[in-house]
Amino acid sequence: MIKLNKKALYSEDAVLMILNLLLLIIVAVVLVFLINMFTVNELNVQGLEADVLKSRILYSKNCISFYDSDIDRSYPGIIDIKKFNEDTLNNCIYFKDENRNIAAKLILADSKNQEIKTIYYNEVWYENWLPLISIPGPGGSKSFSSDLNMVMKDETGAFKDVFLNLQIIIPNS
Amino acid sequence: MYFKKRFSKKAETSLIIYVIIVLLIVILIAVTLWVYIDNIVNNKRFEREFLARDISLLTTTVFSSPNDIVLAYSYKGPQIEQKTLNKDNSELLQVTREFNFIYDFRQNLLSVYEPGKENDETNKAIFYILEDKAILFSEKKIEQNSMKFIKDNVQLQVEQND
Repeated sequence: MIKLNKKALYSEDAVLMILNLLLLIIVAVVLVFLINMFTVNELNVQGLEADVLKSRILYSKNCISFYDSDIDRSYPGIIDIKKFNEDTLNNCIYFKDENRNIAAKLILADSKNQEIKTIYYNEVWYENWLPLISIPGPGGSKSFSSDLNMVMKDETGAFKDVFLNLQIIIPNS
Repeated sequence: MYFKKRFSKKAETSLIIYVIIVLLIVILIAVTLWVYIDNIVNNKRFEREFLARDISLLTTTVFSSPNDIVLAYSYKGPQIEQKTLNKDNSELLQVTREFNFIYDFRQNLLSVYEPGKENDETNKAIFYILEDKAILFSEKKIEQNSMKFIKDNVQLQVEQND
Protein backbone atom coordinates (compact mmCIF):
# COMPACT_ATOMS: atom_id res chain seq x y z
CA MET A 1 0.00 0.00 0.00
CA ILE A 2 1.28 3.42 -0.91
CA LYS A 3 1.68 5.54 2.20
CA LEU A 4 0.16 8.99 1.92
CA ASN A 5 1.19 11.98 3.95
CA LYS A 6 -1.36 13.73 6.22
CA LYS A 7 -2.34 16.37 3.66
CA ALA A 8 -2.86 13.80 0.90
CA LEU A 9 -4.91 11.59 3.22
CA TYR A 10 -7.14 14.51 4.12
CA SER A 11 -7.74 15.48 0.48
CA GLU A 12 -8.43 11.83 -0.44
CA ASP A 13 -11.16 11.70 2.23
CA ALA A 14 -12.67 14.94 1.00
CA VAL A 15 -12.91 13.61 -2.55
CA LEU A 16 -14.55 10.41 -1.28
CA MET A 17 -17.01 12.43 0.81
CA ILE A 18 -18.00 14.56 -2.17
CA LEU A 19 -18.45 11.46 -4.33
CA ASN A 20 -20.59 9.82 -1.65
CA LEU A 21 -22.73 12.95 -1.30
CA LEU A 22 -23.18 13.11 -5.07
CA LEU A 23 -24.26 9.47 -5.10
CA LEU A 24 -26.72 10.15 -2.30
CA ILE A 25 -28.22 13.08 -4.20
CA ILE A 26 -28.53 10.97 -7.38
CA VAL A 27 -30.29 8.21 -5.40
CA ALA A 28 -32.67 10.79 -3.88
CA VAL A 29 -33.49 12.27 -7.31
CA VAL A 30 -34.10 8.78 -8.75
CA LEU A 31 -36.40 7.99 -5.80
CA VAL A 32 -38.46 11.15 -6.35
CA PHE A 33 -38.61 10.41 -10.09
CA LEU A 34 -39.79 6.82 -9.49
CA ILE A 35 -42.47 7.93 -7.01
CA ASN A 36 -43.69 10.56 -9.47
CA MET A 37 -43.72 8.01 -12.29
CA PHE A 38 -45.98 5.62 -10.40
CA THR A 39 -48.25 8.27 -8.88
CA VAL A 40 -51.16 9.26 -11.08
CA ASN A 41 -52.51 12.59 -9.91
CA GLU A 42 -53.62 14.06 -13.21
CA LEU A 43 -56.67 12.92 -15.11
CA ASN A 44 -56.72 13.08 -18.88
CA VAL A 45 -60.13 12.26 -20.32
CA GLN A 46 -59.81 13.96 -23.72
CA GLY A 47 -60.38 10.70 -25.63
CA LEU A 48 -63.49 10.01 -23.59
CA GLU A 49 -64.78 13.58 -24.11
CA ALA A 50 -64.40 13.11 -27.88
CA ASP A 51 -66.24 9.76 -27.72
CA VAL A 52 -69.08 11.28 -25.69
CA LEU A 53 -69.49 14.14 -28.18
CA LYS A 54 -69.40 11.68 -31.07
CA SER A 55 -72.11 9.59 -29.38
CA ARG A 56 -74.23 12.72 -28.89
CA ILE A 57 -73.94 13.66 -32.57
CA LEU A 58 -74.68 10.15 -33.82
CA TYR A 59 -77.20 8.76 -31.31
CA SER A 60 -79.28 11.66 -30.02
CA LYS A 61 -82.63 11.91 -31.72
CA ASN A 62 -82.42 15.71 -31.51
CA CYS A 63 -79.13 15.75 -33.45
CA ILE A 64 -78.37 14.85 -37.07
CA SER A 65 -79.79 11.29 -37.05
CA PHE A 66 -82.99 10.51 -38.89
CA TYR A 67 -85.88 10.41 -36.39
CA ASP A 68 -89.23 8.82 -37.15
CA SER A 69 -91.70 10.61 -34.87
CA ASP A 70 -94.54 8.18 -35.73
CA ILE A 71 -92.81 5.32 -33.95
CA ASP A 72 -90.61 7.55 -31.73
CA ARG A 73 -87.42 5.99 -33.02
CA SER A 74 -84.10 7.44 -34.14
CA TYR A 75 -81.79 5.71 -36.59
CA PRO A 76 -78.17 6.34 -35.53
CA GLY A 77 -76.69 5.13 -38.85
CA ILE A 78 -78.87 7.38 -40.99
CA ILE A 79 -78.23 11.11 -41.41
CA ASP A 80 -81.22 13.32 -42.12
CA ILE A 81 -79.89 16.01 -44.50
CA LYS A 82 -82.64 18.39 -43.33
CA LYS A 83 -81.14 18.22 -39.84
CA PHE A 84 -77.52 18.39 -41.00
CA ASN A 85 -76.94 22.04 -40.12
CA GLU A 86 -75.29 24.16 -37.42
CA ASP A 87 -78.56 25.23 -35.80
CA THR A 88 -79.45 21.61 -35.08
CA LEU A 89 -75.95 20.96 -33.70
CA ASN A 90 -76.05 24.04 -31.47
CA ASN A 91 -79.42 22.97 -30.08
CA CYS A 92 -78.59 19.32 -29.48
CA ILE A 93 -75.17 20.17 -28.03
CA TYR A 94 -76.29 23.13 -26.02
CA PHE A 95 -73.92 25.30 -24.07
CA LYS A 96 -75.33 28.45 -22.47
CA ASP A 97 -72.16 30.57 -22.66
CA GLU A 98 -69.23 30.44 -25.03
CA ASN A 99 -68.00 26.86 -25.22
CA ARG A 100 -64.27 26.81 -24.61
CA ASN A 101 -64.14 23.07 -23.98
CA ILE A 102 -64.76 21.28 -27.25
CA ALA A 103 -65.34 21.94 -30.96
CA ALA A 104 -66.06 19.80 -34.02
CA LYS A 105 -66.15 19.80 -37.80
CA LEU A 106 -68.42 17.42 -39.75
CA ILE A 107 -67.72 16.78 -43.42
CA LEU A 108 -70.34 14.85 -45.35
CA ALA A 109 -69.16 13.32 -48.64
CA ASP A 110 -70.82 11.08 -51.22
CA SER A 111 -69.65 7.61 -52.26
CA LYS A 112 -67.19 9.20 -54.76
CA ASN A 113 -65.76 11.24 -51.88
CA GLN A 114 -67.15 14.51 -53.27
CA GLU A 115 -68.03 16.91 -50.46
CA ILE A 116 -71.77 17.39 -49.97
CA LYS A 117 -71.80 19.67 -46.94
CA THR A 118 -69.52 20.78 -44.11
CA ILE A 119 -70.79 22.04 -40.80
CA TYR A 120 -69.12 23.10 -37.57
CA TYR A 121 -69.92 22.93 -33.91
CA ASN A 122 -68.29 25.90 -32.16
CA GLU A 123 -66.55 27.09 -35.37
CA VAL A 124 -64.73 30.07 -33.84
CA TRP A 125 -62.87 27.94 -31.31
CA TYR A 126 -62.36 25.13 -33.84
CA GLU A 127 -60.41 27.53 -36.04
CA ASN A 128 -58.54 28.92 -33.02
CA TRP A 129 -57.46 25.49 -31.77
CA LEU A 130 -56.65 23.99 -35.18
CA PRO A 131 -53.10 25.47 -35.45
CA LEU A 132 -52.36 24.34 -31.88
CA ILE A 133 -52.87 20.61 -32.52
CA SER A 134 -49.16 19.82 -32.78
CA ILE A 135 -48.34 21.63 -29.54
CA PRO A 136 -48.16 19.30 -26.53
CA GLY A 137 -49.02 20.36 -22.99
CA PRO A 138 -50.92 23.44 -21.80
CA GLY A 139 -51.67 25.88 -24.60
CA GLY A 140 -51.93 23.12 -27.18
CA SER A 141 -54.87 21.03 -28.30
CA LYS A 142 -55.64 17.50 -29.41
CA SER A 143 -57.56 16.34 -32.46
CA PHE A 144 -59.68 13.20 -32.78
CA SER A 145 -60.81 12.16 -36.23
CA SER A 146 -63.30 9.44 -37.29
CA ASP A 147 -64.37 8.29 -40.75
CA LEU A 148 -67.79 6.68 -40.75
CA ASN A 149 -69.76 4.91 -43.44
CA MET A 150 -73.33 6.17 -43.12
CA VAL A 151 -76.58 6.40 -45.02
CA MET A 152 -78.09 9.79 -45.89
CA LYS A 153 -81.78 10.53 -46.24
CA ASP A 154 -81.93 13.39 -48.76
CA GLU A 155 -84.63 16.04 -49.33
CA THR A 156 -86.59 13.73 -51.63
CA GLY A 157 -86.62 10.96 -49.02
CA ALA A 158 -84.19 8.77 -50.97
CA PHE A 159 -81.38 6.96 -49.14
CA LYS A 160 -77.76 7.24 -50.32
CA ASP A 161 -74.43 5.88 -49.11
CA VAL A 162 -72.23 8.62 -47.69
CA PHE A 163 -69.05 9.14 -45.68
CA LEU A 164 -69.01 11.25 -42.56
CA ASN A 165 -65.69 12.63 -41.40
CA LEU A 166 -65.89 13.84 -37.83
CA GLN A 167 -63.04 15.94 -36.46
CA ILE A 168 -63.15 16.89 -32.82
CA ILE A 169 -60.68 19.26 -31.20
CA ILE A 170 -60.21 19.57 -27.43
CA PRO A 171 -57.78 22.04 -25.81
CA ASN A 172 -55.17 20.55 -23.48
CA SER A 173 -56.01 22.92 -20.65
CA MET B 1 -9.53 0.02 15.73
CA TYR B 2 -9.65 0.61 12.01
CA PHE B 3 -9.95 4.37 12.52
CA LYS B 4 -6.96 4.39 14.80
CA LYS B 5 -4.85 2.52 12.31
CA ARG B 6 -6.01 4.39 9.24
CA PHE B 7 -6.78 7.96 10.30
CA SER B 8 -5.28 10.71 12.32
CA LYS B 9 -7.38 12.43 15.01
CA LYS B 10 -8.23 15.26 12.62
CA ALA B 11 -9.30 12.84 9.89
CA GLU B 12 -11.32 10.85 12.43
CA THR B 13 -13.25 13.98 13.48
CA SER B 14 -13.93 14.93 9.89
CA LEU B 15 -15.18 11.40 9.18
CA ILE B 16 -17.62 11.59 12.11
CA ILE B 17 -18.84 14.97 10.88
CA TYR B 18 -19.26 13.49 7.41
CA VAL B 19 -21.30 10.54 8.74
CA ILE B 20 -23.53 12.95 10.72
CA ILE B 21 -24.06 15.11 7.60
CA VAL B 22 -24.95 12.06 5.49
CA LEU B 23 -27.35 10.82 8.18
CA LEU B 24 -29.00 14.27 8.36
CA ILE B 25 -29.39 14.34 4.57
CA VAL B 26 -30.86 10.82 4.55
CA ILE B 27 -33.32 11.78 7.32
CA LEU B 28 -34.22 14.99 5.46
CA ILE B 29 -34.88 13.10 2.21
CA ALA B 30 -36.89 10.40 4.01
CA VAL B 31 -39.05 12.99 5.82
CA THR B 32 -39.57 15.00 2.61
CA LEU B 33 -40.64 11.87 0.71
CA TRP B 34 -42.90 10.81 3.59
CA VAL B 35 -44.63 14.21 3.65
CA TYR B 36 -44.91 14.20 -0.17
CA ILE B 37 -46.53 10.72 -0.31
CA ASP B 38 -48.77 11.52 2.68
CA ASN B 39 -49.98 14.65 0.85
CA ILE B 40 -50.81 12.63 -2.27
CA VAL B 41 -52.68 9.97 -0.27
CA ASN B 42 -54.71 12.41 1.83
CA ASN B 43 -55.31 15.00 -0.85
CA LYS B 44 -58.96 15.13 -1.82
CA ARG B 45 -58.17 17.04 -5.01
CA PHE B 46 -57.78 13.86 -7.03
CA GLU B 47 -61.17 12.55 -5.78
CA ARG B 48 -62.86 15.89 -6.57
CA GLU B 49 -61.36 16.03 -10.06
CA PHE B 50 -62.25 12.41 -10.76
CA LEU B 51 -65.84 12.79 -9.57
CA ALA B 52 -66.37 16.06 -11.48
CA ARG B 53 -65.21 14.45 -14.73
CA ASP B 54 -66.99 11.15 -14.16
CA ILE B 55 -70.38 12.64 -13.28
CA SER B 56 -70.22 15.39 -15.94
CA LEU B 57 -69.44 12.92 -18.71
CA LEU B 58 -72.13 10.60 -17.38
CA THR B 59 -74.67 13.45 -17.46
CA THR B 60 -73.62 14.35 -21.02
CA THR B 61 -74.00 10.68 -22.00
CA VAL B 62 -77.47 10.42 -20.43
CA PHE B 63 -78.54 13.41 -22.56
CA SER B 64 -77.48 11.47 -25.68
CA SER B 65 -79.76 8.53 -25.04
CA PRO B 66 -82.69 8.39 -27.47
CA ASN B 67 -84.79 6.63 -24.80
CA ASP B 68 -85.82 7.09 -21.18
CA ILE B 69 -83.23 6.35 -18.53
CA VAL B 70 -83.25 5.89 -14.74
CA LEU B 71 -79.72 5.58 -13.41
CA ALA B 72 -78.35 5.43 -9.87
CA TYR B 73 -74.84 6.70 -9.17
CA SER B 74 -73.06 6.39 -5.89
CA TYR B 75 -69.49 6.90 -4.77
CA LYS B 76 -68.46 5.22 -1.56
CA GLY B 77 -64.80 6.15 -1.40
CA PRO B 78 -62.35 4.90 1.18
CA GLN B 79 -63.57 4.07 4.70
CA ILE B 80 -62.11 5.01 8.05
CA GLU B 81 -62.47 2.36 10.72
CA GLN B 82 -62.11 3.47 14.33
CA LYS B 83 -62.16 1.07 17.28
CA THR B 84 -63.20 2.31 20.70
CA LEU B 85 -63.89 0.47 23.92
CA ASN B 86 -67.36 0.30 25.45
CA LYS B 87 -67.92 0.52 29.19
CA ASP B 88 -67.95 -3.28 29.38
CA ASN B 89 -64.58 -3.34 27.57
CA SER B 90 -66.16 -4.71 24.38
CA GLU B 91 -64.90 -3.18 21.15
CA LEU B 92 -67.06 -0.71 19.25
CA LEU B 93 -66.21 -0.38 15.57
CA GLN B 94 -67.19 2.90 13.94
CA VAL B 95 -67.03 3.15 10.16
CA THR B 96 -67.11 6.58 8.58
CA ARG B 97 -66.72 7.74 5.00
CA GLU B 98 -63.67 9.86 4.46
CA PHE B 99 -64.94 11.68 1.41
CA ASN B 100 -68.15 13.62 1.42
CA PHE B 101 -68.72 16.15 -1.33
CA ILE B 102 -71.35 18.55 -2.60
CA TYR B 103 -72.28 18.34 -6.28
CA ASP B 104 -73.57 21.57 -7.75
CA PHE B 105 -75.10 21.30 -11.23
CA ARG B 106 -75.31 24.85 -12.60
CA GLN B 107 -75.05 26.60 -15.99
CA ASN B 108 -73.56 23.71 -18.01
CA LEU B 109 -71.08 23.07 -15.23
CA LEU B 110 -70.72 20.62 -12.39
CA SER B 111 -68.81 21.86 -9.35
CA VAL B 112 -67.60 19.36 -6.76
CA TYR B 113 -66.43 20.67 -3.41
CA GLU B 114 -66.29 19.82 0.26
CA PRO B 115 -69.09 20.97 2.59
CA GLY B 116 -68.49 24.50 3.85
CA LYS B 117 -66.08 25.39 1.03
CA GLU B 118 -68.63 26.76 -1.41
CA ASN B 119 -66.83 30.09 -1.85
CA ASP B 120 -63.34 28.61 -1.99
CA GLU B 121 -62.66 28.45 -5.74
CA THR B 122 -59.27 26.76 -5.26
CA ASN B 123 -60.94 23.77 -3.60
CA LYS B 124 -63.50 23.25 -6.35
CA ALA B 125 -63.31 20.80 -9.22
CA ILE B 126 -65.34 22.03 -12.20
CA PHE B 127 -66.15 20.22 -15.42
CA TYR B 128 -68.54 21.03 -18.27
CA ILE B 129 -71.80 19.33 -19.22
CA LEU B 130 -73.09 19.40 -22.79
CA GLU B 131 -76.84 19.82 -22.51
CA ASP B 132 -79.59 19.36 -25.07
CA LYS B 133 -81.87 22.35 -25.62
CA ALA B 134 -84.89 20.09 -26.19
CA ILE B 135 -84.44 18.46 -22.78
CA LEU B 136 -85.03 20.58 -19.69
CA PHE B 137 -82.25 20.37 -17.10
CA SER B 138 -82.73 22.23 -13.83
CA GLU B 139 -80.00 23.51 -11.57
CA LYS B 140 -79.56 21.20 -8.61
CA LYS B 141 -77.35 20.79 -5.58
CA ILE B 142 -76.79 17.25 -4.32
CA GLU B 143 -75.33 17.02 -0.82
CA GLN B 144 -74.34 13.38 -0.67
CA ASN B 145 -72.28 10.91 -2.70
CA SER B 146 -75.34 9.17 -4.08
CA MET B 147 -77.65 10.47 -6.79
CA LYS B 148 -80.22 9.38 -9.32
CA PHE B 149 -80.62 10.49 -12.95
CA ILE B 150 -84.12 10.34 -14.40
CA LYS B 151 -84.36 11.18 -18.09
CA ASP B 152 -87.40 11.17 -20.35
CA ASN B 153 -88.30 12.89 -23.61
CA VAL B 154 -88.68 16.34 -22.11
CA GLN B 155 -86.45 16.57 -19.06
CA LEU B 156 -83.48 15.25 -17.15
CA GLN B 157 -83.65 15.39 -13.37
CA VAL B 158 -80.88 14.72 -10.86
CA GLU B 159 -82.11 13.74 -7.42
CA GLN B 160 -80.55 12.63 -4.16
CA ASN B 161 -80.70 8.86 -3.96
CA ASP B 162 -81.59 8.10 -0.33
